[in-house]
Amino acid sequence: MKRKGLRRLLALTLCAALTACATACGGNGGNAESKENQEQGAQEQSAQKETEDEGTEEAESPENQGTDAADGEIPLDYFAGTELTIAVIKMSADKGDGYDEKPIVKKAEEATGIHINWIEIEDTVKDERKSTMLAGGELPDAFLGIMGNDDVVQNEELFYDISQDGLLETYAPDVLRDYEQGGQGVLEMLTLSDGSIRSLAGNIGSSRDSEPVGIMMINKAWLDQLNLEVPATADEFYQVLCAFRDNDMNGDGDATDEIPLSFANSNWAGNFINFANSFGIAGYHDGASSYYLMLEDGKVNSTMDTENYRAFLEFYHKLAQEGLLDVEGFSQSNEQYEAKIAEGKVGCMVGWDTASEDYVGMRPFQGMDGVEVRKSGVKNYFFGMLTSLVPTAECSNVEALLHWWNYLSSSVENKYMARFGEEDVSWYRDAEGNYFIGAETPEEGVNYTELAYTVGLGNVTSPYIPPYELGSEFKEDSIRGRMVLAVEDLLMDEYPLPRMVPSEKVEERAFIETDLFTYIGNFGATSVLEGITDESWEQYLEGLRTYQYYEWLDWWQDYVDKAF
Amino acid sequence: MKTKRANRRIKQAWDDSIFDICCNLFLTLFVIIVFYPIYFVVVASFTEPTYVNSGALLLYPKEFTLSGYKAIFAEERVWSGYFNTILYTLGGTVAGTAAVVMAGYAFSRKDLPGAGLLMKLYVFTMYFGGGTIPLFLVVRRLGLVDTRAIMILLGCVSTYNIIVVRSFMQSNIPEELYDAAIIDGCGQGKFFLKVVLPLSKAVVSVIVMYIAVGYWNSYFNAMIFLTDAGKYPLQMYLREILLISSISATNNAQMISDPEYARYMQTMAQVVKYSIIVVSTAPIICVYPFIQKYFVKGVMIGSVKG
Amino acid sequence: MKHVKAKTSVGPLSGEQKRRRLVRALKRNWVLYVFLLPSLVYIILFCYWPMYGLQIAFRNFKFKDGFWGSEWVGLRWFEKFLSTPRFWGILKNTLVLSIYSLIAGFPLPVILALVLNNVRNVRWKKFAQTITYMPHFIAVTVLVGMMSLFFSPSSGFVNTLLSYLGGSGDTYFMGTPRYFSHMYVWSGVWQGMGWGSIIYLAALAGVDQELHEAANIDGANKLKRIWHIDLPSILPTVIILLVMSCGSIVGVGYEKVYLMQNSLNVEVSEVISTYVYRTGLGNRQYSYSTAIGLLNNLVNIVILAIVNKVSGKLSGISLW
Repeated sequence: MKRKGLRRLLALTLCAALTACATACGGNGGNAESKENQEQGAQEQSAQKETEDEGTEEAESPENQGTDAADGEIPLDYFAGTELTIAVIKMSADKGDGYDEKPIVKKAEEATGIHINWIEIEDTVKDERKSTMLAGGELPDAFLGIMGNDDVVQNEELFYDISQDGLLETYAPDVLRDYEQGGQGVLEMLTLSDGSIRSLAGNIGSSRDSEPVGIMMINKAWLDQLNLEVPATADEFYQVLCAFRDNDMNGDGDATDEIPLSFANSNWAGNFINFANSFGIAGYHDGASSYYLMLEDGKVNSTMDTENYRAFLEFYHKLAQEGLLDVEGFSQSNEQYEAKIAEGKVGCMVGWDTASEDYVGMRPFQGMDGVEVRKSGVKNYFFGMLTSLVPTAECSNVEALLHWWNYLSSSVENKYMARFGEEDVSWYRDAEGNYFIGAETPEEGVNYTELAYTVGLGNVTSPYIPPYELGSEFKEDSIRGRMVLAVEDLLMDEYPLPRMVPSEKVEERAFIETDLFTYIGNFGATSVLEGITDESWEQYLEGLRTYQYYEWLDWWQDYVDKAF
Repeated sequence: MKTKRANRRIKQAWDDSIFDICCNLFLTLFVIIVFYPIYFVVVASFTEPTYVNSGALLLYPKEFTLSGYKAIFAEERVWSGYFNTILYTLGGTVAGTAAVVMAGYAFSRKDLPGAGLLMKLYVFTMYFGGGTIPLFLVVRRLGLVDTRAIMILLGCVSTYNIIVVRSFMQSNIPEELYDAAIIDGCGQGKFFLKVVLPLSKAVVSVIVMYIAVGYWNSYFNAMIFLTDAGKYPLQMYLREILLISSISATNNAQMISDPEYARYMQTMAQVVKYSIIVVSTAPIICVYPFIQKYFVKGVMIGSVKG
Repeated sequence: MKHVKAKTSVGPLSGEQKRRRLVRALKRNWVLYVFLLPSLVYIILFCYWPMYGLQIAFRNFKFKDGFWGSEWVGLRWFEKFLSTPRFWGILKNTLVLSIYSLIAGFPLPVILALVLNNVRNVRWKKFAQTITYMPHFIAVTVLVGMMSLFFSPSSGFVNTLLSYLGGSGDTYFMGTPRYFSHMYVWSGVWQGMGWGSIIYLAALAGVDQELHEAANIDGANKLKRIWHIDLPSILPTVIILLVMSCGSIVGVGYEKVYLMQNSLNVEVSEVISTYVYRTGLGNRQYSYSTAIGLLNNLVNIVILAIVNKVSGKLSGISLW
């Protein structure tokens, strides 16, 4: 207890010194700043060390004192000799020999002297292992990339409250700086309704072109054959599809095997509801449910009961009836879908990207008069995961843990090393110091996604990278890359940002969603096949009430208003 | 009189050959229906995934490739998985068959006091269980978490199998046989070993197969009780591949949030999907022909009675 | 069970007689208890000991509070399930699928076994036996994937065949609600028929060949012999398996249904297990899914008990 008090005192002094120094240096950029501070703290810390031994005896190892000492980074090893146990997710793409071997882990151990004992948990058994670990009460010092928001909220007491006592300010200043300068309000998102903070953020996507989710792509080669332009209105679109259907576009002598328009609900970015963009309905991520509400000026609007939505379904019913829409999209597997595309049978489609140069991206066409066309996706999307590092209530040394995590965040280089792996292997810098993912000259047969998970920690297990540090690796040389630029003006400005929600609220929403989503999905698909009558539409509106669509929207309104 | 009998024999022979033809027709038809998809899996494992998924693959492999098999056998996990699976299957089958056949015999005997109550106790467990987490806690209390022993033990006894053995023995081991043996001074244990087991070869071999196949195909226990991936059975790898290839159904949040990752994983899974089925099931499929040996007619009661 | 009858027909015994009889039985049969010991130990350790976990059906389970400490909520989860607007639809779908599966899937393995048993050519018989049991090993994911390929309206060979036979050739099998149950059940029959016939083949091996020979001499043709000799001798096995199948009427495994489900057929394809999967697993509602599982199995075991009783009365064959 006493020692903890002392440490807090030290922390406060350090904190004060830190701010003083920062102001003195004057916005010299984060890196210089922290280095400066570290030097400052070095003397204080080493003095402190003599009075309160942190159990560092065995790890006063020569390697640690070696090179780093010369760089003047001695304060980094304040916790040298500490051992921590972290349960970490091991993704299937990780072909490496374990977390001990990852460059950033080695680098961090060298610099901080903190040794991590990894408990690696495969992605595919994550849920089972998570529940047995939580139920068994044998908790590691922290979980990395394993917990979800719901897990943390529902089991709050099992995790450490790092909002207390200036822990973050003292031991994770660089992490905090990224949260603040990222401009997305990460710290606020991390805070639970009772004011505690139980986790630190990681990443989800890794690039800006993740913003607009699935995009529509159209076969430019076919359009050229027909001397047609990329369609911009519903009529033009209809004409083009008819032409695709009626002609032997792929030139195999069979005029019936062309599929004018296809999609696949089993493709993560190829859901049917993507087409609703043309009718002014858009979502903020790939899941169909994100289309069920739209946020404008802080107000949650319904979408599934609108005349636009009805017009959308009716238009696609017409396409389906005339053999223009591949209705198999509701059931086909992603593999089947991709095979159709690879065979060159598809005229227009929706998805993430395609390797075939025959296609071009297509802006959502004007589905009906007077509607404002949107593109799914959000302009300032939060590419973060809220529950990356989750210290447990039984954490033996939460300060050391934060210190270690802070080291990973202490420079862009470290963040990239953590996320992607080694420089000039899986990422590189150009002359101006911009960061890029992959290699300057990509090697044949190397998969950079796999590489990033093998030599880097991967997405969910590496510290949050603020958007301005991600922006530079934008690829304009792909169909998708060009399209992302072309539809930027149609993206939404707002969406419900992720947040830690009390568990009874999570439960309340989950119970509504099970029935509601099934109902909406079923009506949409059935209507495309069988059409809509006034009667069936009325019945559907009634169904939306029965299945609590409006309660669901209210829930989200409260969420956005931060009512809970 | 004689001609009448002869006529009857002729009619009987006629009936029988019609019956035989019908039987064979039915069987041929069914074998074809069953055989084609099996054949498809094997051929698909040698074919480029795009070609398979386009529906163009019908009878013979085109765009031949071994990439699926190469990818699988390059995985170290496959080899250690094979070893573990075989170990668990052998161990579990031996333990399970012994426990099940013994229990089945005990229940088949009419003079077991309390049999009804005990049977109810057993049947109850077919329907009610405490769930995974309490089971895990129990196993941990027993100190068996992350051991090969738990992989062998867990799942070896099933009430269903006990009932199958019991009902088989009840209808196939005549009561007189037991009475005669006892009068001859044969003990319970001796009777079981010398008389019951030889007469029950068919059902014992079925139980062996049920248990062996169950162990071979199981992965759930490994997910819960093993932490060391070196002890994983082969099915864990199979499951991973299949899970990924049906990604949208499993709704793995991580994959959806990282599209590049999703794409990478799906391509990987596509290549090995059919090959892994072949690799992981071929060995266990070979068990059946050995089991069939024991289904020979007429080894039974007749010989003992006489 | 015959012995139950035998016992009851003995007539009233005095307490003393009963006791003595029991002691004698115990003395003579203690070995049988030794035989039961391994399985009994197993069942106590791995089935009854963890059984305390069932109580979370009546609690709001939280990891930190554990099984004994979580808040008691009584029948809350049951009420929640019964009050969902889709409850009756889900129950109906579940029953349709399982009863249809039972009706279509139960007799066919018996027939297959009888047919196989009558094939004279040993090699052909073994080949057919091995082939028909293979589908059991095809993972459900792959099975559903193949169905999606084979029955595709655009590229599947089934539709091509149908169009030769005068069909429309673009039937959307996987997406049309009214085909769902047929697709589900018959693919299940396809997969399970050979596997299911194994136990009957084993039972048929026990048929006394002398009976056949005698009947043959009497001029009974094969069909008659099957009807009067083979079938009765495997009947106990058939009935016991049927009783056990009836005990799982409420409940359809989730995996295959879930994989076959899509937004077009969900009205008929949502069954209890997929529904639980949607609400339970995704949101870690351990209590909720335990409660529904409990409810399911209560109904199941009641059905089992009834069927068992009926079977005991009619055929003298029962589980206990």
